[in-house]
Amino acid sequence: MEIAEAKKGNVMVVEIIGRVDSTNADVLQARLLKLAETETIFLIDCLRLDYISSAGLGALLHLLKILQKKAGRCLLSGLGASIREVFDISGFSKLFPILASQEEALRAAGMNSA
Amino acid sequence: MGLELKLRNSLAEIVKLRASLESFSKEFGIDPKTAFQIDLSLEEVFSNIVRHAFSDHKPHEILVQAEVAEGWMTIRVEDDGQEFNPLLFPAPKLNSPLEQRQAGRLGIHLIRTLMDRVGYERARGKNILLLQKKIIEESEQHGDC
Repeated sequence: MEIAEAKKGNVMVVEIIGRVDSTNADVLQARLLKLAETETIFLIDCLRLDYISSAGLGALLHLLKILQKKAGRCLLSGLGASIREVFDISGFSKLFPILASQEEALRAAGMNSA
Repeated sequence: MGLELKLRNSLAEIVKLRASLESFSKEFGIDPKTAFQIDLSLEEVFSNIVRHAFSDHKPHEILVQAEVAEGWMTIRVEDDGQEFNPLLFPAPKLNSPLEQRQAGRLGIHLIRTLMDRVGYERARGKNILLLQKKIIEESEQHGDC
């Protein structure tokens, strides 16, 4: 797994690349929670995410719970069919707004493009 | 020909589990979507066992066997941990508010949804879990008929 971060306007874009499973979900969670200390609007780009299990979902859920306390948001984009199925089965598609592309998600997040 | 893996009760073994499963799925020409579902279900099973089945902090062996026959992939997972029947585990409430959601309950729900059949047996002090998934073998996909 690789994690790439880029601030776009007021949105913290976090791209997760590769596989998130029980062996590395804690690394992802630690990174997201660290970012959430200063950021409130997140976009998780899953375009190059090949695999996620419930351990990875746990990391995203933890982030969302923290963001909710400070009126933050977390959007998702670029989910492949298999990843999307995991989110649907888990009921996570109802927790996170899911957009097709990073560009759409940034528009939905009301990014300040200035 | 089947797959047989003897794994330690350590999450690091998931790397070995995944690699073996990947080559096994390739060998039988299992489509990527089904291979993903099997991969995910097996990780959930294995990580549940490692996290919850043992309280003695001692090494244990987890036996994973897989075979393909008559259009079905069958995976058998055996551990000598505490008795646990995932079929009796209550389904998570998927519409509950965010603050009540728990990812820990999702693994078994994913397994039961993604697999076509899940069976459990407690025998000789062991948990035996059977996962079955209907597959389309390459020979059928590219058959002459």
